[in-house]
Amino acid sequence: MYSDEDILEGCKRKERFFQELLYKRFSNKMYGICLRYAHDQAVAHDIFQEGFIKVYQNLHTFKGDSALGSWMYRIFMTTSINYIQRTLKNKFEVSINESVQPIDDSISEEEAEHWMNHLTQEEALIMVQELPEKYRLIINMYAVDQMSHTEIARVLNITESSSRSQLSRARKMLNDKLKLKMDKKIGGQ
Amino acid sequence: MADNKHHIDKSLRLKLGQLEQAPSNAVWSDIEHFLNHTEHPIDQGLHTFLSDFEPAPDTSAKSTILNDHKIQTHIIDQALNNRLSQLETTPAFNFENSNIDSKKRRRLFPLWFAGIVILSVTVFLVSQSLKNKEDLKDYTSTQNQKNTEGIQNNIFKSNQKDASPEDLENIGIKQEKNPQYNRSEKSTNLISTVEVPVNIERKSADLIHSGMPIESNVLKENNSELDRSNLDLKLAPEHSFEFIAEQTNRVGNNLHIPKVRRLPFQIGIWYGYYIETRVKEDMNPEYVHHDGLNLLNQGNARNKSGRSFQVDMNYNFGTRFSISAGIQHSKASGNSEFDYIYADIPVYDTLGKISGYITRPQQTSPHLQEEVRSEITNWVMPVSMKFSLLKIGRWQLLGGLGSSFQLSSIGQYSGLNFKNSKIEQRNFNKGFKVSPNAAISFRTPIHPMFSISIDYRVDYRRASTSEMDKYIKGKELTNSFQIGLIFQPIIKR
Repeated sequence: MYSDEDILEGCKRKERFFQELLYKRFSNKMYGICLRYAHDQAVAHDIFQEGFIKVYQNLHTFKGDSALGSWMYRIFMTTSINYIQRTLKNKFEVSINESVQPIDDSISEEEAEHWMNHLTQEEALIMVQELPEKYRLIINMYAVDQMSHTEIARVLNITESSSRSQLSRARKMLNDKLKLKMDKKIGGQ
Repeated sequence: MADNKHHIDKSLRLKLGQLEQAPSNAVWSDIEHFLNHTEHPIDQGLHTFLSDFEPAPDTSAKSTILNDHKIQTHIIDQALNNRLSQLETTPAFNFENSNIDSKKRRRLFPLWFAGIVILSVTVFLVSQSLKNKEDLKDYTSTQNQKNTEGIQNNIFKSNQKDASPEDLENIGIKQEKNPQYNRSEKSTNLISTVEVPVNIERKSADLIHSGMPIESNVLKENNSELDRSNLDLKLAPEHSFEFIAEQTNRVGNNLHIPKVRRLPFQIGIWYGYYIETRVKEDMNPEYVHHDGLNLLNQGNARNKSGRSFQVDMNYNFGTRFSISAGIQHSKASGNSEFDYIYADIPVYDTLGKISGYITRPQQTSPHLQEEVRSEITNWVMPVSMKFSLLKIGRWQLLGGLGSSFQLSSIGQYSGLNFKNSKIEQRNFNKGFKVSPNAAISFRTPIHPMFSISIDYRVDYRRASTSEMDKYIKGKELTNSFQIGLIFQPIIKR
């Protein structure tokens, strides 16, 4: 069994065996990140491929300050964000009229949490994937990857208030989808 | 870190934060292709030639460059110093601090005029000097190019010899032949101010920066030519999906890799050989006593063998699981010999109907032997699901389970009719029949869009091997060996 250090050194020597080992060890986790940010598997594949190529190209810059997995996580997250940003035609600019508005919650937060807990991982993933790209991007960055609004604003080159308003809309859309899904489930029963 | 105030955020993080899913196997092969690209012959060639690039300084080139620099510097500095230093020596007149009135200023007009004249003359002389400098630049650049070629020769011959004395002598002659150089040399001696050497030092530093790219550009270009000729580099046509390192376009220093997407379905064309092996045969109990025949043994029945042709379509669900369905056409032929015994003799009534049987001991019963040749054409619809089990290098091992739905089985057999003791040919057409099967496949890609697969499949089915009027019920194992070409479309995005 090879350690991360062994794999890292092997990859730096450009040995194909270790490169494949690195791929096998981290591919599932990294592909999960790509799936969250992408709206379908094809896009996730693209991001995944691009991410791994970046990893191989930049392995020599990895200092070992953090775990290899964490370092790769950051790369895949950044790659996913950049990829989605490239595909976005509209910038994250919010006019004054579109400033933060209170969410007209169709279901309460507790209800949302309750129903969300009843979803399978696949159902939750599909719900997120069905969101429009900018909402999917922001909810992934904030809710799943736990980036602050300041970080999001810096990465996406938007204002913090824009980040908040986009998140607010994303949550509302997610709530609506959740309610719809749950209504169907209840109706089905 | 974000403060997750909303419950939905927390739930989402719990659900998706640990999301893991296996990507398609094809992704690794694409990445592997990319990694192969990084070992591009051009890179390797450049690395081989330039990684240990430590050429000995060419004295002739160095002296030429320095002399060129010296001349250029001196001309400019000389002109400026000659004129402007003299201008500084004239008594200064502080216009701003003087309280002279306009009349006094008018009186100073001749001084203005004289100053303008001096400046004009200075500008003229400087421009003349610059013109001469251009001529010198042309001359020295020609010399520089020659010397650069000399450097290249030294690099690739790994010959670290210094410039010959003749080269140095030549430069000396050139310097003497250049009147501007001589003039500047003299002027330098005459001026002997502090500014000149300082300027020379500054210009020397500039020269290092400005000189090196010219040298390196020439080297790079020539090396590329050299590499191309040595490595016999082939450039791929545009929009090529071929991930062949030697045939991949390069845009600048980057490889031109087309963005492609694999479609989830595959089309396979198979050609195979199969052997039907009989595992057990019994007399059909329904017919045992009808003609008084009992099967004694199977004799030397031979297995049937045949060839098959199959077209199927495969659809991938995720990375490790796929289903396929297709249509298979096969033809088989074979001989079988059977031994029968008349154990039960029918007793006929007055109307000619069998009223009963008299069973005789086997030792005294007559034996009958029959040779049957059958030729069968089958149309089968195989349906299967496959699992990726193992990957060894470029080979992938797949396991499969499925069923073959026999749509029709048309054939004919020729054998002895016991009733009239004549050889008869009979046609038969059997209908729907299902046989379960298991398979293993070895698959390897031969092209981004094509793979080759070698399959071994075992079908188990109930069959009337000899096809003899259902006298015999058989169970068969069909061992099939197939080789297939699988096409997986790739579309460009």
